[in-house]
Amino acid sequence: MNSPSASSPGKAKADAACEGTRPSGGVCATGRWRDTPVRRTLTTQVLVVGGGINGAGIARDLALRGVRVALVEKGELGGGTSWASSGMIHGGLRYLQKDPQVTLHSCVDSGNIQRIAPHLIFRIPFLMPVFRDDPIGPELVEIALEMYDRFQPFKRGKPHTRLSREQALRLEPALSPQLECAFTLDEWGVDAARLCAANALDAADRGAQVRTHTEVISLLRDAGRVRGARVRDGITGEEWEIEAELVMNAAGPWLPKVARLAGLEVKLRPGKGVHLVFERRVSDLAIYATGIDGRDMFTFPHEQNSMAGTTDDDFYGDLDRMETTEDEVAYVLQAMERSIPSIRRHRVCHVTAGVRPTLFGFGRYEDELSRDYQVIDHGARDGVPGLFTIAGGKLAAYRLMAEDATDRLCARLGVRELCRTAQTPLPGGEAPLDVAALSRRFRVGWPAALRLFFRHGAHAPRVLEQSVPTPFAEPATPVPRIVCACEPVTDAELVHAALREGLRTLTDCSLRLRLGIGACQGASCAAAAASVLAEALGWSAEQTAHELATFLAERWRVATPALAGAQIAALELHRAADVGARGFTRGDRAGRGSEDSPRRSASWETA
Amino acid sequence: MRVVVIGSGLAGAAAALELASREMKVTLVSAGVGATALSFGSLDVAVPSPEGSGLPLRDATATRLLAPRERLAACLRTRLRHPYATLFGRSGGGAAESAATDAVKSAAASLDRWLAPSGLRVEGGLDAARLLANVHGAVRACDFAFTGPAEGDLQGAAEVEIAAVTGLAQHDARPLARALAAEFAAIGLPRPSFRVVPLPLPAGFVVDGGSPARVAARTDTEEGLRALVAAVAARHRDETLGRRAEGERRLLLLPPILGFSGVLAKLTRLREAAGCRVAECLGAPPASPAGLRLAGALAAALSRESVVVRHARVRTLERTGRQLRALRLQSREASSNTEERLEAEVILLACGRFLGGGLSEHEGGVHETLLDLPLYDEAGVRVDGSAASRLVRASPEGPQRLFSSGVRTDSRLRPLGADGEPLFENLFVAGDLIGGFDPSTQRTGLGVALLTGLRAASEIARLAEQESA
Repeated sequence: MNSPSASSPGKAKADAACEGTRPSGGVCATGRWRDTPVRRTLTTQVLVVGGGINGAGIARDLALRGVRVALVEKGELGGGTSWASSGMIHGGLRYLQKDPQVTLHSCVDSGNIQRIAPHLIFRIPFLMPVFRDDPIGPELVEIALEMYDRFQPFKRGKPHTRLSREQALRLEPALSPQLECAFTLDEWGVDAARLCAANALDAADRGAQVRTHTEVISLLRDAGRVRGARVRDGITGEEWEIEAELVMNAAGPWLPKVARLAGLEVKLRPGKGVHLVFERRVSDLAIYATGIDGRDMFTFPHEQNSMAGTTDDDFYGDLDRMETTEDEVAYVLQAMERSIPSIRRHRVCHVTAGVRPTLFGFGRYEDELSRDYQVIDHGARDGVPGLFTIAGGKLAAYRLMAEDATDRLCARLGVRELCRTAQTPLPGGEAPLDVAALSRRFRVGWPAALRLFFRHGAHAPRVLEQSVPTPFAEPATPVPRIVCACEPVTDAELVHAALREGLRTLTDCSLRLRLGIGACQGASCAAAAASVLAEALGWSAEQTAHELATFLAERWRVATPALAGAQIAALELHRAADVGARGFTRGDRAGRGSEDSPRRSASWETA
Repeated sequence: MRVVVIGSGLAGAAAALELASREMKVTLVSAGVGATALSFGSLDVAVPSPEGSGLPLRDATATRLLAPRERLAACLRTRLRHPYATLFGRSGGGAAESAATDAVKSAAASLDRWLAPSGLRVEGGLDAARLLANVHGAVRACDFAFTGPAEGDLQGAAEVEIAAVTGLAQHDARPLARALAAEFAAIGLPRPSFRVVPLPLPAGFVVDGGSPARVAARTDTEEGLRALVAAVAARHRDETLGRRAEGERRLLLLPPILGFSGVLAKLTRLREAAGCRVAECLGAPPASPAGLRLAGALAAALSRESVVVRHARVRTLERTGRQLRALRLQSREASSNTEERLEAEVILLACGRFLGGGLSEHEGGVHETLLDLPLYDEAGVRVDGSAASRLVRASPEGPQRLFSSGVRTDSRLRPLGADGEPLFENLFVAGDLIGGFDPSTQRTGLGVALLTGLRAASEIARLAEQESA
């Protein structure tokens, strides 16, 4: 038969992989996906374990200082706590009372992040309604906000204002008319997963080895000293070793597990946090609410959606199998209902759940625990040199934490370069971009152009330029196709992520590109996206089926805990699009049994 | 006799059309589009699925593909709570089987008669399955399908050309070809040769980021259709080299872009231009022009047969004891926010499940929307009042009670109470609202809609005869 894939770029790539030149997946030195030889044993100066915001931030800082670094992440970049965060680089009004240091750090660094990644952040105006039966009256609230105002200039935030009941209701008619008055304050949001990816990709651009779906299975020891790790590729099953002078354990809630590999104990007080994600904006303002137990929570706009949360409960379960319970969903909705009585009419299309790697504290409620962080040198603390751990902290202060941790690593390595992460733009943050011109030039709709700019900043034209040719490249300038209409995501961006950003699975697209996490939860875009990636990465039919089933199963898993109202109909449709439309091909990750597409396997050169 | 049908999907429409053809006065109340408009081109009577709980593709010894007739028999034999068992008997003996077969034949013929004036035919039968490709490259062993995809039986073709329409989103010809090849390997049949052929359309034809709906709408204009026909003809002229099969042995498989009406005529022109068979892929939920075509053709038939269609939402049903008396309607037009009372002597409830609005959630539990009829899952366990999240698993695999649940009926399609007795004297139920099967695994969805709709109509007609006698 005429092989339909004979001339696809995917096949060419896959062929190269079969020749044994490189592992599948990962971003190589130049940030471009090239077939560079990588040995079975990689030797580097620092191995960073964990591709969340801490690990990615540290890897970038090290790379900027000229240190050779490898970053391994067992899932997708930012897929753990960072993804489950509220995606805010807020100062933390909450911490003002007990942790003013945390507030200061967060506010100062929020300003820095705005400077290095202006495309990735968005202003979130907050509205704080005050009710008659609130434990703290308007006067005390205003005093706190006046204090907070002093921090606002650090992050280009506006000072608070006090609104009358009528003014507040005019601004947001969905507010409960029971309110007495309201205050405004100013915070910033960020795409946390993209921020992680941007840090990791920039590190890769500067020579770092970044490998996703790669888990540390043991630490390499040399007379008590940690000198690297043995890692396993979760997709291909391959194992290899990374030799490093220093290992930085930045595994977030998983960090005690990594420390245990060296026989060490690092205690955390893990706190589970759940957010509800609405299919669209509930309000363009973030609105404070109070939980039944008096905790502060809010509903806030996040990119195309609104989110509500969060919970904070001690977590003792399996980090890799975290389920959201009906109780958690009910608790959040009940809190929101007091501020926004109509909240239950909005459709919750999925939930996020994650665990904060909070520093250990005994005898205190979850909310009272410090949001501060710690960098542990296990050489000094436990007599196990070569291993460091970073624990605790907040998304908003990630850069400062990374700077501190990197300073400690560099001191040990004898590297004298100073930190440049506060000044050096993240990829795409270098310059503003005329989005209208982008839309015209590539004949891509305004919403798609805007979102592309949001994720890629000044690099957006590059994304559309380099990757468009689809089947036969008939027109001279092919027009990007919209694959996911909610976000929107174009085929060009998917191909770019696959070929230039080292994206490895369809499921990772939800984090990296926000594909399929809107109203349809992938029902209308997942299969199309799988096809585009299959072409780009040379997936066989079996592997494509596996990727699609895995993606839809993950969407199902996160959609079902908050099942109410119209979301049930949405899930009925989701089922028809998934189970109802399946063929007889058995999904297979490795793609065995296909004749038309070579199996994309990775063999390694022996060192 | 004043008959009111609630729901304008295939079940409700078929019932209304059947009653109208018996010269009865019918009012059809429709709140909007439901699951029928989201269907994707096949009329599944007994279609196999790869899921364990689905109908089998092969016979017990796995040596050959089952004929649809055998699959229907298997459904009657093994799915005791499936609506088919309710309609044709649970014994599964030869009598049930032949009753079911006859009913399917005559139902398909009736539907074909209603749809044909809109250029939509019902093709197929129970003797041999047609292997149709969907837009993602999955193979569906269909018994019946509508014009467009129906002509795309992959089994008869030696060579299948898969059209790659440049710029069209949601459609990638090469992965589709790979998926089809893998499907044939999985099914264990010799496969035709699959070839991807580019189908360049004029600049400006594909817009809006390749939106398939916009492209489909374009072929509804003469200009757009002419451009598509020209592209197919050009392809035919250029591509004679390398082509092995001719005429019926060759199939050109298009994405589902043949617009929302007049598919039959379009296919004739395309066949002529291509010099071979031409068909569309089946769509895939949630977006496919095929469902809208079907909904449109049904609406046209209802209007031809003078069925009164009221676009309104039913607020409540008035009842006296075991008799329903009237409906309270809220008009869909925004200007009129008034309720209206519509008297009824017989009511047919055909408003689907969650998508259609027949089932809904309130106060934390799942309920039948209008009368809070008791609901049962596939295993016969009562579920109404349960939280929806308790009726699904954390993974989409395996049985999902939430999506096999619905109303339980007697063989006359009267909804049953917990005691197994009909709840009302003048209420019937048709379509997906009847529970006992999961349409995603037991792919019998539109088949159930059509057969139960027609059965309900004949029960209602019989009731009318008794009353007049």
